[in-house]
Amino acid sequence: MELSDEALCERVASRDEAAFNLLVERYQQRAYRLAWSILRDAEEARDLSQEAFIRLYQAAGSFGGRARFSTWFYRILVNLCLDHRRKHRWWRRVVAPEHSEDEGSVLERLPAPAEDPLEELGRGRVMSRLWAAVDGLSHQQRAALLLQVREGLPTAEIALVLKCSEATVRVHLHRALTALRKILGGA
Amino acid sequence: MATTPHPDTLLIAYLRGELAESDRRSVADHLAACSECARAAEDFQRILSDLGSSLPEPPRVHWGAYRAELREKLEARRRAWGWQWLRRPVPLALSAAAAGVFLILGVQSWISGPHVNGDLASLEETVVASRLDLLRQYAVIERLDLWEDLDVVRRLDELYPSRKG
Repeated sequence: MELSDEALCERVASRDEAAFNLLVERYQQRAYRLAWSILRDAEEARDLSQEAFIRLYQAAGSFGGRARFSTWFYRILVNLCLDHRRKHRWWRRVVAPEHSEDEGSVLERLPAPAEDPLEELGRGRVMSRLWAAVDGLSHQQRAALLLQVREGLPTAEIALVLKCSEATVRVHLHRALTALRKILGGA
Repeated sequence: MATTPHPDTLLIAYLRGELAESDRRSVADHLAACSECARAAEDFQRILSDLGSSLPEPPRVHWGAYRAELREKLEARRRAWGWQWLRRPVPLALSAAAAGVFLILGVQSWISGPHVNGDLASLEETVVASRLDLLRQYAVIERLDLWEDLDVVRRLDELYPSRKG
């Protein structure tokens, strides 16, 4: 029988290396993708997602099981990413005032076109604009939106990850979608 | 025209089916009467759906290398944690106490005289022991004027080779 994430985390607290390796294997892709979605930099995403696993190893004993393991782990990861963005905001402005590292390649990273190439190209452009607009959101709005869209977390869990109330998450999401709608010409 | 306030921040929770029944019904009633909110809800739904179906993928990662790198970083951090342990309050206090005890013992042994005299006495014994050969020839030495016949003293062994060894 497969052990739950929570049970594995308990074992990590008693320094069970095999349990830690298993948790890493289960979460490595999600952690890296989520970090990349927030940071839009592959190297930083790799580095910070690994740092999140190290923090997990260090703090596994403090996981009380009150929340789901994934929520607890995402909290560590998202906080690391948001802190990193805050600290390096000034540097990004100096080095890349308008575009982040991977912004220009959003179109290339979209899923491959299905049938009508022209229609798909148009759709690809719209999606590219949409994701570029997501990049322009505030850290909190962007994190809330990505946790909902990419990870499918409900509002209550997003609130736990971002350490704020559900009402605040709803405000973040509403403002984010209103901004996107405006940029896409819907309002 | 809707008479209830626009349920702005509840719209997304409504679209995702997260609202309690009473709130859900209230928002649904409002949307039925307010075209502005109904249009916004429709656009939000479309944007969420578009985002969900077009998630950009990050550059690929070799997961074996990723885990190897993670293990190295964890090892390095463990070593750092080992040193950090010494800087925690309890170990720090214990180290300070131990250093204090050693300091007090050191000062005490320096102040107390007998230990110092004992050390000097043993030093003298060592020096005397290294001169035993000279003392064995004392019968000869006492007949010499040491200040004038230093060369003889240095070559005593040659004067009495049979007694050597």
